[in-house]
Formats: sequence, C-alpha cells, structure tokens
Amino acid sequence: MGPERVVYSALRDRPRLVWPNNARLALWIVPNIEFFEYLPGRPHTRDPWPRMPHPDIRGYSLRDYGPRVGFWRMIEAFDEYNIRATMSLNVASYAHFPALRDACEARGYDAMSHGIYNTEYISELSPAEERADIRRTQELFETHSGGRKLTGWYSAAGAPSLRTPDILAEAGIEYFVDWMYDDQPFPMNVKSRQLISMPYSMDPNDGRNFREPFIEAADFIASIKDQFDRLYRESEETGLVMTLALHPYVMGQPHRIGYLKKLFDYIFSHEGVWQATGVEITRWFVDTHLDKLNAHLAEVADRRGAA
Amino acid sequence: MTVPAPGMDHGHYLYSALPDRPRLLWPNGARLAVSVYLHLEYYEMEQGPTTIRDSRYNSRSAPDVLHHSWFEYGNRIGIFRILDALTAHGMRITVPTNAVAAERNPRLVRDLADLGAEFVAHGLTATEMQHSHMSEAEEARLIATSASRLEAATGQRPRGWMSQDFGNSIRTPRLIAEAGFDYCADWANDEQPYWMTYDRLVSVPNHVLFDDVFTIWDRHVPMVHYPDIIASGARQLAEDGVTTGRFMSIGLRPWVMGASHRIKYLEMALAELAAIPGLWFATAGEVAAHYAAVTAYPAERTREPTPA
Repeated sequence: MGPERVVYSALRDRPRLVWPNNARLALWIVPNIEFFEYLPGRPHTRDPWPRMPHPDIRGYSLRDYGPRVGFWRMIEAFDEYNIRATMSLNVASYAHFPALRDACEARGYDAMSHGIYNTEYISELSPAEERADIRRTQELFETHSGGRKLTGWYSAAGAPSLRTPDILAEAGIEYFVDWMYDDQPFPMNVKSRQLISMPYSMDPNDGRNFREPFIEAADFIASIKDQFDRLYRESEETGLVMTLALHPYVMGQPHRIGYLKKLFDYIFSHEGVWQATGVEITRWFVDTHLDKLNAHLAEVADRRGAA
Repeated sequence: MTVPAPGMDHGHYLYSALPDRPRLLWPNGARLAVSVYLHLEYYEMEQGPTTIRDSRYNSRSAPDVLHHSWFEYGNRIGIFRILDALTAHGMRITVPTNAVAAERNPRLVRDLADLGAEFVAHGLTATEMQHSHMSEAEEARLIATSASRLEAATGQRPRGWMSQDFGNSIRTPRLIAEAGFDYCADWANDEQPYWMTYDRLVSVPNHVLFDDVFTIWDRHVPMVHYPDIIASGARQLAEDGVTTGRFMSIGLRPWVMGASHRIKYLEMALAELAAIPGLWFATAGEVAAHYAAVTAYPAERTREPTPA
C-alpha cells in the first residue's frame, strides 16, 4: 500500500495561503461546453437518456441549444465583465462546432478537459483503454486548437475511475477537479508525483441544480450569493477558491442571463476578488505554496507517527 | 462511437451559430415572434402492452384513471380559463391536437376554430409517443392517420406536426417531411426557426423551458416565478431581436395552467407579455411560412443517423 490518495488535513490547520496582490478569494468561472450524443454508442453502466428509447430529443435538443444560441449569449455577458473563463470542454465540441472553437480560442479561455463526449464515461474502460482515451482527448484538443495543451481535467459527466489521477499526472495534466473535497487546491498523491486537485462544485452548479425540482434562476443566484458571502468572509483568514460552474444551455437562456449579470455586478463590487483561470490558480499555488503545505503535512505525519 | 467531425452527429439539420446567420426580419419590424401552443390532448385510461409513455406519467395503476381524469378536467374546465386569458390580449393560438381529442371534443374544436386557431397534428392520443422501437411502417401510419383524422374532425388540413412529449425515433423528421408537412415543432434548440434537411421542412422551435409540463408540472418550479420566467425571457429576446429576429414558444396544457390555483399566474404573465413592444403574436404556421418565404433553403444535404 502506498500513501493515501489524499491525506486528511483540516483547512484551519494549514499555513496561510496568500493570493496575488493579497486578494482574498480566487474566483474561477467555468462554462461547461458539452456535447451529449444523439445516439450514445459506447456500452454504458448509466443511461444518459433514461426517459425513453434513444434518441431522446427533448434532452438532446435542450443541450444542443448551447452551441447554437446559449453559448453566444453567455460569452457576450462574459465579455461585458472581462471574464477570463476556464472551459470545462467536451473536446469533441471543438471538432463539431468550429465557430464555437474560434470564439473560445480568440478569447484564450483556459482549457480543462471534460472528456470527449459527455455521454462517454472513462470509468467504464480498462486501464489500457482509459490511458488511450485520455491521450486521444489531448490529441483531439491539440489538433483543433492549433497546438494548445489541455491544462486541467474534469472527467466527462463527473465519472472518473480510481486510477484516473495517476494517468493524468503521467500525461502532463496540471490540475484535476473530480474530487470536490476542499475550498483550496490540494496535492493528490499519484504514482509519478503530485497532481493538484482544484476545488470544483456540483453544489451549487446550474447543470445539476436546474435538474432538481423547485429551482429557478432567482433561487440559484441567491444561493451563489450566499456561497460568495460566506467564502469572502472566511477568506479573511486564508486564501480560498470559489468555483462558479455554469452551462450555456442553462444560464444562457433568455430568462436567466439577467440574473447572472446581477451576480457579476454583486461579486465584482467587492475588493480582493482575484478572477483567474484554473491554470493560473494552480500554478500560483504550486509556485508559492505547495512546498510550505507539504512541509506542514510531513510535520503532521511525523507527529502522528511519534504519538 | 460518434466521430468528432464538423457538424451535427445526425443528419436532421445543420449546425448554425445564431450570430453567424443572415439577419431575420419579422413582419412590421417586430423583434420577437411569439407562438402560444395550447395543447388539446386525450389521455387513454388503458394503453396497449407495448405502448411506451413518457416516464413522467408512469402511474403505477392500470387503468390510469388519475391522469385520464386530470387531462379531462383540462378539457372541461381549464381550457376555458386559458382561452379567456389569451383572448383578453387578442393572442393568436396554435393548438397541437391529438386526433382523438378533436374527435371527442367537437365543442372545443368549434370554439377554437371560431377564434382562428391553427390546429397542429399531434398524434392520436397523449399516451402514444413515437420512439425508436417502432417500425418505420408503424410510425408512418401513425403520422398519416393522425393527420387525416385531425383534418376530418376540424376541417383544416394541418400544416405542422408536433410529436407527443418530444417523442422521436431516428426517422421522425424525414417521415414528417414525407407526409407533406411544412414544419415540425419538436426541437428545443433554438430561438429562430431553421431548415431541416428534408424537403423544405422548417423546424419551429418548441422551447421546453417555457413549457408548463416541463417547468411547472415536472420540475415543480413555484408558480410565483412563472410571470417572471415568461416576461423576463420575452424582454431579453425582444432586446436581442433588434439584431436579428427571435422566436419564443409558450407551451400550455389546460390541465396544468388552467387549474384554479395556477391561472392567476398565467394571466399575470400574459399581461406583462402584452405590454412589451415589438412582439408579433403569430401561430406556428404563420411563423414557419414567413421564415420559408424570406430564408434561402440550404443546398447541403446530410445523412440520416443510424442506430448504434
């Protein structure tokens, strides 16, 4: 047995994390640019369209609203607020939708892989298949972006295997978000080295929240404001990360975009918010804080061993 | 496995980013065309053993008296509340109609026809979705029979088709085109009509988030939000419609929005809607006809998808 994948660590025991310009809260904004297949082909343990025999055009066409319409309305709002976004990208979207690809590349959005299609789950693959699939994902993105690299990884549909972090570290991925257990970046132990686990959020997250009952945009934005207020207050003590996970087909809808803009107005009226990309936060953390944190974790482990 | 290549992963329509399209102009300088889809449906108490229903209606009892009577409440009571609310603002009405519902409710057909409503073919009953386990012959027969029986019951040849509960097989758009329809109202993916790739068939969007079954009945969004959902959606679309015309559909069911505890919120929504400048209230057929008259049909043809 090697070391645990993730060492337990209470956030309040850790050394203070300081962001650039003494910002309190790092905010990354993550539009999930997804492609759900009309006829999912791979054998699957979960059915992406459980309502009826495939296709289910109700589910499909609502998601297809994203690349045709919702994405464009959302990035217009991003441009208005100079937002530097991090894509959670089903990389097949770049192949299918060149216009969307060009718009994202022109803005230099950070690229976090969200797998190839959101209806293909790597958790179902053998180790060799998973390695090949991750490589293929990287190559597909490099081909369609003109040679840019995927910096981060969020497994399609949030469905990784247990070995995914090892493969990602070998493949040169810098950060990984499937394990959503923290409000700060944290090193994950993998075979080759450490992989940085970035905070991410399925709660709140427009993709998930709007599938639940009783929720509309006003409720969703109210809960994000509550989240922001709390994290902003706590970040007086040590730097924290807030994730705003969005979907163009959800918050890019005409009756919802106004609420998103009101949220931006509110958040950006606060001092000390560092609106950064996933890779910027990760690299700052690695460059300025990781050694300190590892020393602290080693010290805690020694103390535990001595006791 | 789907191949990551330019365009869609099926052949029914082409990919098109809304900002890249030629400007769409509505009649009289309108910025937003609005169609109200008021469904006239018949829910069978007993269904055949192979019928596949939208799983949201899967009641555990057979016969399904609950849903049958719920829908019938709509046709006896709720629809009149909705018609009063719509006519108060002179709104045009599009009626996706199960042929059996038209045959059983001549009184409603007459009232709707007197109001100038457009009937849209909508299958035989609310309990029979189209799906990929049907054979092509079965599905083609369902489409043809629904259209001819609806025509007999209403005296109007339907120009549009809406599949029950967004039920499609992989063949549906082609079969709709082959049956001679001008448009289908099945897809939730756009804010403008667009061409399907079969024989000049127009897709008039069916905006699922403005559909009462999806948002109110299935997702249980509290009714207090309803006027804002409709009005802020329409205001944003009218604003965006300055650049290029937009389309919005509002899906209503007599048994949902015609209920006594919900009708007030529909009335509020319609009052806000009626006050927004630049709206063109039209039937789906009027929207489709206008689109077809002013937009070039794409030369490119694509392939029909095959099952995995």
